[in-house]
Amino acid sequence: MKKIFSFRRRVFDNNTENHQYSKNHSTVIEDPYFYKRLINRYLVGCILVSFGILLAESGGSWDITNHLLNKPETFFSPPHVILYSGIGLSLVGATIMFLYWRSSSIYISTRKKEKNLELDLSIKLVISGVSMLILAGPLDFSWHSAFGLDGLLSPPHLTLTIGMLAGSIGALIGITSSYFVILNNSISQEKRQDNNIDKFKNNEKIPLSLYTTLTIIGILPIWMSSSGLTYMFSLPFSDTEYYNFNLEPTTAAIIATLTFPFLISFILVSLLRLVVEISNKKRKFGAISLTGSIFMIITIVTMIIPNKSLLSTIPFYVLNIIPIIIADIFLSKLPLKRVYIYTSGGILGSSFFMLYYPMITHIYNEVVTNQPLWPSLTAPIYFEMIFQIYPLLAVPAIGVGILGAIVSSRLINRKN
Amino acid sequence: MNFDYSKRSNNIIRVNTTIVLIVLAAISLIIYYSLSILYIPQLYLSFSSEVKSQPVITGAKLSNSKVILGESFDLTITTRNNGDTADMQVVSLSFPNITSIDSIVKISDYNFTQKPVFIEVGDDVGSEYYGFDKVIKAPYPSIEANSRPWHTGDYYQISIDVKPTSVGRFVIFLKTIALPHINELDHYPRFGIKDYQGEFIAVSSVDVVNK
Repeated sequence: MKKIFSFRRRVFDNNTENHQYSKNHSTVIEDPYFYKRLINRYLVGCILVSFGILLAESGGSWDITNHLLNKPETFFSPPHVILYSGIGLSLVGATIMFLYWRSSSIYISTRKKEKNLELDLSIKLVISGVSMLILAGPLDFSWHSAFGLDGLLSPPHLTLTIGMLAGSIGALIGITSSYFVILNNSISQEKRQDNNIDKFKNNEKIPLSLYTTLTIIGILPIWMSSSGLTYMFSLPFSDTEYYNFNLEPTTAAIIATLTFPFLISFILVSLLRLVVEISNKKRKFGAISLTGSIFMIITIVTMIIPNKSLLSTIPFYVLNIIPIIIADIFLSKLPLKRVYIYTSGGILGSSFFMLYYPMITHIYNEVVTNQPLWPSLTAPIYFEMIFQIYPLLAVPAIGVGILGAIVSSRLINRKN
Repeated sequence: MNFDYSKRSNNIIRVNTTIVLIVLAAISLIIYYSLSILYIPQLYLSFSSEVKSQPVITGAKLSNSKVILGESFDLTITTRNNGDTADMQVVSLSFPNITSIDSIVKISDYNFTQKPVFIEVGDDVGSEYYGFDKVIKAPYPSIEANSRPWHTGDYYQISIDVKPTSVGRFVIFLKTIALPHINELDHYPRFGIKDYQGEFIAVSSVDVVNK
């Protein structure tokens, strides 16, 4: 509280232009505290959207596992409640984002000195994403009414997943751009006040570790929803009474082999690059490991623990933290050279077959063993398969992992 | 000279740190791949034993052994799993004398975790204990009830109410199967006569007579 008051007083003391802001927006307070408050609230909206989507994805993942186990399903089953809560939370977040984006837009357009707030893409993606999440509900109901039981890949589920992906990308853009907006605004304030940029750093009130945490919260739902989208096109769960959307097993396996390693590498390398940008080029160990750990915890809680026969394989799954920590060390402790970035990408990519356990068993089982895959047979089939198939997958996985790191580096460099 | 020495020393420390980290990473990766791809899978496969479920029909209780045409009788089937927990255990009651379940057979009670399903003539059904990996068409109607999973020692019951529409012997075929089906212990009965699905059945029947 003391810090907030000191910041507020300092800003007001130094502020030379201090207009009033009324509800009808006819006049505007031109003070940076007001502006920062708008951005902070906008940031809260972004966090709610990201967290909501992450929650919805976790609920969805648990729901898929329950379907595989054929557990009795009700409208208010725990996975459904988590899914709905997540969607509700992201709706609240999107509303907050929209309201504060509108206020700050009015503020900016009135001042006219500063433009290019760069929040437009974020708000557009979030609103379209959350709209798709809401639309998916009635669409799913209509689909069930027309065709009975549906598979994993269906128009309503696709709408839901694309909505999650769009919303989470929008929220991450919002989180990172909010940081830069506050940073630029604060620097320009200091410049205007006494032409001393260094003083800004002394007066800096933005906790960087908080922004790193927020970036992790922002990137996780992107990883989860893009993984979900890949699962949709690769898992053989879409053959129903009226239609069969399952891809040919080899095609599905190729999609999984090319997409999963790319995703792991692209997401985790991008995370580090974003954190580096936020922390004034300082690299800190931990962000990648933490993100990987959360991803693994979600998998353990939603996919492994509900299937009792997989409980003994948790130690095997936990081992996947090793390549993630190694990639984190390479990217944070070694010189930021291409060779280390690409090596990290390769290491991360090579772990995809283990990191996407147990669900990945269903994809490759169709090609390798084609046995009936009952819940109790998932681990035995996976462990039989890993001998046969991993040596064939390792090289393409490393290659695609390196590609993910290259694409991530180029994308973030170009953005800068 | 001091400055150069210090710079050189820092470079050496940095290079050494890099080398140490790379070596440690390489060792960790070797351990990771050895454990994940070789050691743990082999360990798991050598220690894990086959799931040995043992489904049995412990009771098939008929309300009457003889009924007058137009009257109904009840049949209650009780089943149990005496072995390891099965991913799924199915109980099937089929009716070879009729062509449609319509108004003849009604489910009066059940405690299975899943709602029992009616299978009509022409519907797809699994066969030879392969489940839906070997599908054939049903020539007569049946009822299938299942629980997923079916834990060791759990009992499940289904009661039906049957009102035959013709005189003669009204026959009901009974069987229970645990899935995944691995050996002969995973089905009950384990021998005897087989139905159209190539699976062993127990027979229960009621004489339907005119007034």
